[in-house]
Amino acid sequence: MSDEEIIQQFRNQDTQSYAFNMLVRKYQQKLYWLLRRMVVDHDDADDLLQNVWIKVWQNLANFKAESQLYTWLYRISVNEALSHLDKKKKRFFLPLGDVEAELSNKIDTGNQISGNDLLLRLQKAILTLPEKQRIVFQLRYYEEMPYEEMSKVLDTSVGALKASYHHAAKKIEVLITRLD
Amino acid sequence: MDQNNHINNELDDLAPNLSKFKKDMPYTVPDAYFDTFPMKIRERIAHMEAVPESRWYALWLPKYSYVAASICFLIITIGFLFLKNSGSHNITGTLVVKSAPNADYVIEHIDEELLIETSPSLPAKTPSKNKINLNSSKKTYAEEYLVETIDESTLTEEL
Repeated sequence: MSDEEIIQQFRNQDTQSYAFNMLVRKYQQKLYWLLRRMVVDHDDADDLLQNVWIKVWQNLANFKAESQLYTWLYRISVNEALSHLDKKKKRFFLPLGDVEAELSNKIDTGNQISGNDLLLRLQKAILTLPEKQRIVFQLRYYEEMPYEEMSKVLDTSVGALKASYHHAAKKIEVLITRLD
Repeated sequence: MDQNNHINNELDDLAPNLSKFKKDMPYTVPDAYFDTFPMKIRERIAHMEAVPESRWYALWLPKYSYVAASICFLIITIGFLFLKNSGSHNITGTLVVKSAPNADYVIEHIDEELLIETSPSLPAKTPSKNKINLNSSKKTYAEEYLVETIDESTLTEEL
């Protein structure tokens, strides 16, 4: 079922639950991994994913098809993750670097984490990037998202996103080469 | 597909070592997490819709309840102290008011001569004892000060 059909069915009271269920099944994994990469911890990612779908449920009827549905879903997810990290900083009065250090520590000690050493080191290298650069890198490297779509998700110009991705990739390259 | 190739070529140019990495994730999820997640969301939405929509004060209350409680406590404390202070004035005032009809009664119904006869010990005009004491103490202090500070011979010369 296409996104347009799902939206149509969601607007019909009789098929609303069915359409929403379809939508969750279609995008839950993509959104989960996006959130998980940003917050590392499974429980945090789970909470955020639930919040994202609650917001989708509350606002999908008013969704204007000015952008693609998945762009809208990504946008909600990115905002949810950013506000979660922001709250974490405010709650513990932590500077940004400390939150990233905590996330990096979770890669070593957290639950639901298993992988070879190289993969873990790559994740830690990604966590050294500034927040916005990290999101850009993840959307491009893992999601293989075109810059034009990313521009709609992050509300940033294509040129700025290209520059951000280039800086991020070069930094990661230096870090993983140094580690070898 | 072209888009993917473009992204991979871009990465080859930018970071040749990184481009050799597999894009696997080191993270895992609990068993059947994605199978049960849609049901979890449905239950949460059903619960959310079963509970009446939060009113503005319900949202406001937990956030500011401590501040509101503190303000109430302050108002009550200040009010209590204010009433306590002004209350003593009221008591005096009430006594005056209550005693006034009695005084009127005495003035109206009892003969002045009778009053004088029944209270012979009362002086006709009662001077304030405190005032006298105060004056006398002031006087004593002034005298002591003069005696201590002014030479006796100077005093004699002046006189």
